Amino acid sequence: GCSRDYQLLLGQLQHQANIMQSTGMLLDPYLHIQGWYDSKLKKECKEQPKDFLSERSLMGLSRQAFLQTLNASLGLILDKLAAYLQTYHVNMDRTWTQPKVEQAWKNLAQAERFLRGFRNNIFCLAQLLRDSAETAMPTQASERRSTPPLDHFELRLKDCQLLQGYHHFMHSVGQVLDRWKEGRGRRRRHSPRLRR
Amino acid sequence: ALLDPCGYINPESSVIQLGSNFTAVCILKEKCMDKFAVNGDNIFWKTNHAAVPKEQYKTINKTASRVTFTNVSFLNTQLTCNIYILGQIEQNIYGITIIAGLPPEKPENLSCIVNEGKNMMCQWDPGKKTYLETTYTLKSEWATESFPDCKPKRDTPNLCTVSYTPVYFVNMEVWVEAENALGKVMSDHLEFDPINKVKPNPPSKLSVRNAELPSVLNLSWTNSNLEHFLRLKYNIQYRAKDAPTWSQIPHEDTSYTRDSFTVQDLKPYTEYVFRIRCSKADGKGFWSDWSEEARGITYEARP
Repeated sequence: GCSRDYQLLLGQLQHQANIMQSTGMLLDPYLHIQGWYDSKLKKECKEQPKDFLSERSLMGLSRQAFLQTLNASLGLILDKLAAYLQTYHVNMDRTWTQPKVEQAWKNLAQAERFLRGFRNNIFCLAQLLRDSAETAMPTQASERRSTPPLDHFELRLKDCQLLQGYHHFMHSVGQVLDRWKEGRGRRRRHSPRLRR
Repeated sequence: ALLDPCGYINPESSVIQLGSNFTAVCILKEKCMDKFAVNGDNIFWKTNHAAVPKEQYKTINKTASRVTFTNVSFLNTQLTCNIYILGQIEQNIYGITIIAGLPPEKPENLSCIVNEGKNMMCQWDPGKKTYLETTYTLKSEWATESFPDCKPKRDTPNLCTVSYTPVYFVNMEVWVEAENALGKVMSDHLEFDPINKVKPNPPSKLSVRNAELPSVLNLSWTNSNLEHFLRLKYNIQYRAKDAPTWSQIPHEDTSYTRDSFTVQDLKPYTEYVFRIRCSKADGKGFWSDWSEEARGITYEARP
């Protein structure tokens, strides 16, 4: 079952957020696999502001709403990662892949397990907070604009930008968790709807 | 039918607990009784071809005989029901196997270790020998996810290395289930973050360089990958080449992550041997093995 130790869970989440800020966890392996790591295309891989909430917005959420938002973003990345890893498992003939690419796939697989562990901790902390009667706010999702159908390259570029944004998002998450550790997190019992 | 037995034993082959009592009944079939003109009185029992003393069995009716064993101490025996045909030809009617043993004891002292770069390995004390085929299964899970069961190899029945790579900073629960024909039991659950069970790889590339002073040598090394997300502490030991015992740098001087150290108060113009090991700074987990030794010679003292 879940640990009931708030400080322990918070410490673990901080470690996870700090580790996940490193592009070595997701973006770099992805770039290696795409063959973009050493190419000009890497510059195209810029984060899109609307992909993830800003640090400011995160700071304004109650702890429950923050955890739910974090969980939703993790789910997004995990779904993409799982689908992506599936393409690796399906393509059994990998004799031609270079060792660096093969290692990149392994790193992505380990990152996926790491993210599932991240989600486990979020689940446990949310449960702990729920038990301490902190009312939950609906998840504040980042704005999802409907986008025209993308071709294969654009899809891969979109994923790349998403990962770039995700690492930055993890930095923001780390900042929020640091504030919680200092006891300055937002503990609002009844969180008013956020004004736009 | 030719091979149709002339009777049978109830119960069939059984696994029973050592020290318990065991009773079996042999029942003759009517057609055989008529054919060989025998009845329950003619039944005699054997265990592994040795006759069972008459006092241990008795006829319970025309067709059946009951045998009883108290405080069973045999581990594996063939119990047969037999009759004499024409008063002299020994004829086996039926046979069962009785295996005796003990239910598994609760596994104790469950402990786990994560050797850096390897999968987690756990071991436990199985308790008393059971004399039976007993399976041990290492179970592990997060609050939100269960992991594949870990079945020990036959030659190491009390330890198991899980099939998945460790994920640090997530509490997991681990326990052992032991099961044989006589029972099933579970160890206490262990709850921990694998990061606190790590045995780091030792520092590598330990090298020694001279400093200006003849009483000083500078050490440097490469830390394990854990340094990127863990605070480490060290034990640094040194001794003059032929000295029998090691001296150790005080703990307080090596209690945080670093990759070099200046050793002072050495004797001039002396060859020294150094070694280093590391561990998680908060003391949770295990010390690494010692590094490879490195040597250096202090400068001569200036006249």
